[in-house]
Amino acid sequence: MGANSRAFTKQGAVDVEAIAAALQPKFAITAGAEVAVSHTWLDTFDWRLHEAGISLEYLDNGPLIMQFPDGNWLQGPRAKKWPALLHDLPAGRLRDALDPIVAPRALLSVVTVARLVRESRVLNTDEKTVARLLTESSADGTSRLQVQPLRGYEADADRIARLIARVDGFAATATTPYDDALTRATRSPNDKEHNLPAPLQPQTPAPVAVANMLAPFAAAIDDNVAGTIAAIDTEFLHDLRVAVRRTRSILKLAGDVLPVNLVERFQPEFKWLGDLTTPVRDLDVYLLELDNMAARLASADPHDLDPFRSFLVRHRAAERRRLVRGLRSQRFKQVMSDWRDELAKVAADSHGGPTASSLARQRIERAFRKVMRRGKRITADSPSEHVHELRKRCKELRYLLEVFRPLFADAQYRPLIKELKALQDTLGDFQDGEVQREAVREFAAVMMEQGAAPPPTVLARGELAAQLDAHQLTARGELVGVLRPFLANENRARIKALVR
Amino acid sequence: MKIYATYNIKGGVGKTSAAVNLAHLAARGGHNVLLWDLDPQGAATYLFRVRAKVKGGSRALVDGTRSLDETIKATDFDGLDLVPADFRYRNMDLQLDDMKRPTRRIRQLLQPFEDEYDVVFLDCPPSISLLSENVMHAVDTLVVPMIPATLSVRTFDQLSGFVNNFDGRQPQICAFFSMVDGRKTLHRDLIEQLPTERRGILRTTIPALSIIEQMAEQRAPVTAFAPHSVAAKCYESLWYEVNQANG
Repeated sequence: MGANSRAFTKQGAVDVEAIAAALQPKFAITAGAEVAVSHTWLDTFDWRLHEAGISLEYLDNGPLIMQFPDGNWLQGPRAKKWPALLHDLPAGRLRDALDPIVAPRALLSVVTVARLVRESRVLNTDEKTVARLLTESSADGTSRLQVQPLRGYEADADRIARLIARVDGFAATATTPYDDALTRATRSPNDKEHNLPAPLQPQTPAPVAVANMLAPFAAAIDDNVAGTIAAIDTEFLHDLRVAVRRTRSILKLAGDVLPVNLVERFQPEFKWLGDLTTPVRDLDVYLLELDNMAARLASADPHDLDPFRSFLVRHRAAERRRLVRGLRSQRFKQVMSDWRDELAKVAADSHGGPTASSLARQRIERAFRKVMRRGKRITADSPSEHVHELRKRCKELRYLLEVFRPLFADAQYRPLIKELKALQDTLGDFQDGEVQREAVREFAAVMMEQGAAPPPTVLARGELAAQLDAHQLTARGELVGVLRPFLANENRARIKALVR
Repeated sequence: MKIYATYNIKGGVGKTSAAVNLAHLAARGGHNVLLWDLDPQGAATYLFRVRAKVKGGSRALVDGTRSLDETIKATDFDGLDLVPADFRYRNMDLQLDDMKRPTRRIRQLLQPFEDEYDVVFLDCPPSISLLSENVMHAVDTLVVPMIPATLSVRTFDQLSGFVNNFDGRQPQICAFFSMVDGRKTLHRDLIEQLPTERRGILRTTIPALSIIEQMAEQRAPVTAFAPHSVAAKCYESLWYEVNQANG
């Protein structure tokens, strides 16, 4: 958008004659016919396109149009139905442009709005089109007018917009048609703000602070249940699991400040929920990675792994049935409903006792000490269980740093979290390799037992296993390199300063 | 990104008409198309009602003080953009000569658009010069309009010989007869005879029709203002054949 707005709103219909009069003598208008269209916008469940300032839309049965914040756009064919994963879209530039932003999430229809639309062309004195005017009228009587610049004629578009701004009844607007349509949608990107924790103050009583930290995780679990059951994309289950894991960690690390019966009752329930979701997620990760691994095969043909993939898909279908049964069970519904009620009660009723800042100080120091203790023992030859333990302690420290974030100054927090993230990435890489290595062996055994493995598949899997072994050796070497600087005195000092 | 150039040493043979109509057809077929009017006369630029002026002229493009991106103008047709001509393009040969690898500059300038455009057309001025050599090194296909005349055969042979001497990458030549008058025996004979003797000559011919001349008054491709005309059908057939020749 230029210095002035190129979008306007108006109560009532847009009079093209009045606009044409305002643009004379520099410009003339060739008005198109007014047509009724239904306008649909798409986004991922977590609003990735909206966050990137991009809108993805289509009119009636028209192609998909991807609009970028700088005014550029791309067009491509649609998927047959929504929700759709990226591979449901025909290959092409649009799909390539969406991939880095959207994958692995599915595209969902966010909102459909019926409008009367007219596209007119604005011509200069050479009768060359220099801009398009798009007018849209909604059933509620409001109209919207957008000056769409043509490449190389941006200055003309700005001049046209300035002339329109002088016409009675037109008010410049900074909102996009997508923003306007979102006000009629059942979900909105702002919903996420409802999931944000209540503001944390140093003097907040510790039980209130902990209950307020846990409430957004409960909301995140609820939000992701329907998408997990409907198998829209793999991220619903992933996000649900992250919320469960964080709930369990906070219960473990700071649950003791909550009423005693609460932790006793809910800790086993969230463990059950975690265990219920693990097999499908492991298979999701494995299937997502299989293509990458297949591409790396040197001696075997990637298609040799097809029976293996079919096996994983069948296995996942069986595990998913079990997961869906669990998420639809009375037990799950009761746990979540009781949990929300209990958290609300604690948040409303607790007074006095230790404060949030003293709790933060104590628990972060303790978590950091554990990381130090485990970390110092790791060498290039450490067994993978030790590495796994260190990874879990790092995760706990990270959760604590994040939930108590509002209590810390940026100067200490930012460098600390940056180094912790780097360490966690290396640990995560190592752990993923371990899980895959285990899984290759485990699945191989099951397939052999069931006689479901033709010889080329066995050979290809052997190559995969060897690759994963080599990868683990490298990851272990890198780990020691990242670990030493993290354990250095500088971070110890940062932790001390952070929780002082 | 496929790069085509309409080229002939001779002027007035239908280069611009071919470039403008084929570019329009490519865009109408769903491709993102860029047409660069390299001819200082600026006929293609005029046909699209764009002003024939590029800030800094060809010098700024050749020496890199301006990028090609800044000069691009949208035409009135979806998916079809234009780099306008500028009268200062007449000095481009001298400017190219000052560069380190003077025959590769046009190709370099187009490289950043690899992902943005599917098809690029270069409408070249008539001559054999450093600029035309640049164009030949930049393109995948040279689209060569020829008037059916004995001298045209000689020109075609010269061009083929020149391109065949390139080291490494050589553009494909797709020549076709243009401004054909079916009443002339010489035209009919050459059109029949030459494709049997030379490779790279297409079957489609573009007749000398007044509707093609009307493009200058209509200021639009004939495929846009008269899409059902014989001329438009001939350009469609030419575009189809050029595409087929490219595999």
